[in-house]
Amino acid sequence: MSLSTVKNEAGIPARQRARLPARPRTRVLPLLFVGPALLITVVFTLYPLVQAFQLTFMKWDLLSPKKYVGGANYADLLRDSGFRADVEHTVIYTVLTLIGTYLLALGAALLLNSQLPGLRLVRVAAVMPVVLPMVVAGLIWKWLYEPQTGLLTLTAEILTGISPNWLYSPATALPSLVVVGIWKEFGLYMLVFLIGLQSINPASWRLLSSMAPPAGGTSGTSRSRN
Amino acid sequence: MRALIDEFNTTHRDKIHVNYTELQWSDGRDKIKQALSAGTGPDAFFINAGLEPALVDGKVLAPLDKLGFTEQDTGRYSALAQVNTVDGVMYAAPLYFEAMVLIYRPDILKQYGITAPPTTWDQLKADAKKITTESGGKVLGFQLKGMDDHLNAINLNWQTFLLQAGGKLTTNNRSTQNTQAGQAALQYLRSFYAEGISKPGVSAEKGFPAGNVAMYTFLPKTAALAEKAGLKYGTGWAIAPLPKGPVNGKGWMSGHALAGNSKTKHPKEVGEFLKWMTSPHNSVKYMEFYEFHPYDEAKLTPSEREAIEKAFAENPIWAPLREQMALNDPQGLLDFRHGSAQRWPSQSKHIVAALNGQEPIEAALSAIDADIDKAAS
Repeated sequence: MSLSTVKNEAGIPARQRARLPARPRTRVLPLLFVGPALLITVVFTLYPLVQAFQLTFMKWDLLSPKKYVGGANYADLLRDSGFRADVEHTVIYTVLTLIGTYLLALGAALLLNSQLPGLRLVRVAAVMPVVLPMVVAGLIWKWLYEPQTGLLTLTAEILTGISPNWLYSPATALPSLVVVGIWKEFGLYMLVFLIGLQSINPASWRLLSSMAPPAGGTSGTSRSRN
Repeated sequence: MRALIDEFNTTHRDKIHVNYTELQWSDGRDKIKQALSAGTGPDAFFINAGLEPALVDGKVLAPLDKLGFTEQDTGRYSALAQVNTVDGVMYAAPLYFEAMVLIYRPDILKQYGITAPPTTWDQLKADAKKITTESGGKVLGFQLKGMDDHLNAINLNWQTFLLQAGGKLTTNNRSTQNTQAGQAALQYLRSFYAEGISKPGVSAEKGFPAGNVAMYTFLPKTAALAEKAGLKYGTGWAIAPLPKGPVNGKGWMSGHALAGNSKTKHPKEVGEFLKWMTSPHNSVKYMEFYEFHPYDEAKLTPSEREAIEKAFAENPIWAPLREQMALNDPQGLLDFRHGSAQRWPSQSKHIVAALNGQEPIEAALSAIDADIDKAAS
């Protein structure tokens, strides 16, 4: 009688192999794959990060020996009015830019979804800032906001008689930057909203339209309830 | 600088070769410090005149006498060179010194009926106000460089106006900006912005050749843009000594020097390189960029003196520049050493905030004093 068994490369029958503990080679191989990337991350990211964190507890001018000062640097930072202002401005900028971006993106997506003529051009104009490098965008807005000859400055001067100093006045600097932030980002979110809106079944739109309140009458919802 | 080093390498082909590395202005000085600290620093390097205390305290600068400079060599420098000395030891060879001046557009001044540049603070303000008002703000009569796209420039300007009001950066190892003189200087500068004579954000350097700025105070080399724009010295642009303040007409003086690494393995070669780079022969070349030579002319050889005098005579810019240099003294740079690591960032932040009206004058000056004293402690 002959018996055939399927053996693996090591010559161990499959059933027998299943009972064996996992071979060390299978554990080492993944490590070999991730090893180089891990090494680079540790040497160039993790180690400098830990070392930088250690330095936050020192007083050091790069030349003299380091002096341990405990949490004094953090205490200084918290006492510093400039740092507090930086945090405050960052929070305000983030909140306003986020809200503005989402509202404008949703509004623009609804408009573009309405199939009105000439909207292709609007879509291109809205997406253009997203693909524009930030350096170019910065230069454009610097020119628009220029205190003496900027287009927005001159326009405001003609309309209101006041020549605003957009970027250099404490009252207008932050809102001016929020406008740039919204302009730069809303196109991307508009596309996401637009894709979402266009994936809605047309029948749902028709149903929604039929539920719209008639002029001077009750709403579709209340009508159906009645 | 690169052309000069190439020339040095050619003329010293058989003995010395210098490998030149140019670093960014923004972080170059920190990179040099880090390299020196790690023992891998360059043999010779470029530093600001005045000697940063960290460099001296860290013992990374080689005294010039250890690099082969004799007393005769260092004795030829003018009194300004004492800014590179600590306790009688000279640590860096001065390349040149620079002076703040009034840079103005004679054509614009003439257009508004002003026949000569202002010579006092009151005149400066009155002339600037006339130009800004009569042009409807299209031309700023005066812009303080630093309130525009070059934030760090506020330091040289502020230090100038503080000196002119009789102030001192440091007295008895304490920062002394919040004084009557400091408050008067800041109040004066603040009035330009509060009264709409000057406007934050308008670039002095770019607005000047474009005709949007009539006057600003800074180092004359920045007026190169005016020349590049085709303006002719004397009619299109010119310089004058600084308008005098209530106490004096001094201006901030700065400069650069070359230092040797105290751990260099080639002290003799470094010394030879430093001597060659800072020689009177090469000083004439730096004068093309309106940099003032560091020598006592009386101690130069007749041919060296003649070359320098020729350079002075060839360019009309040197008459007002020399007049200003004669008023300046090096004490400011010596006072600058106290807490110097924190001085510029603190001054930039608080002076601009005070000029914008965001911070009261006394609070701004006292915050600067506190920052500087803390850094020095």
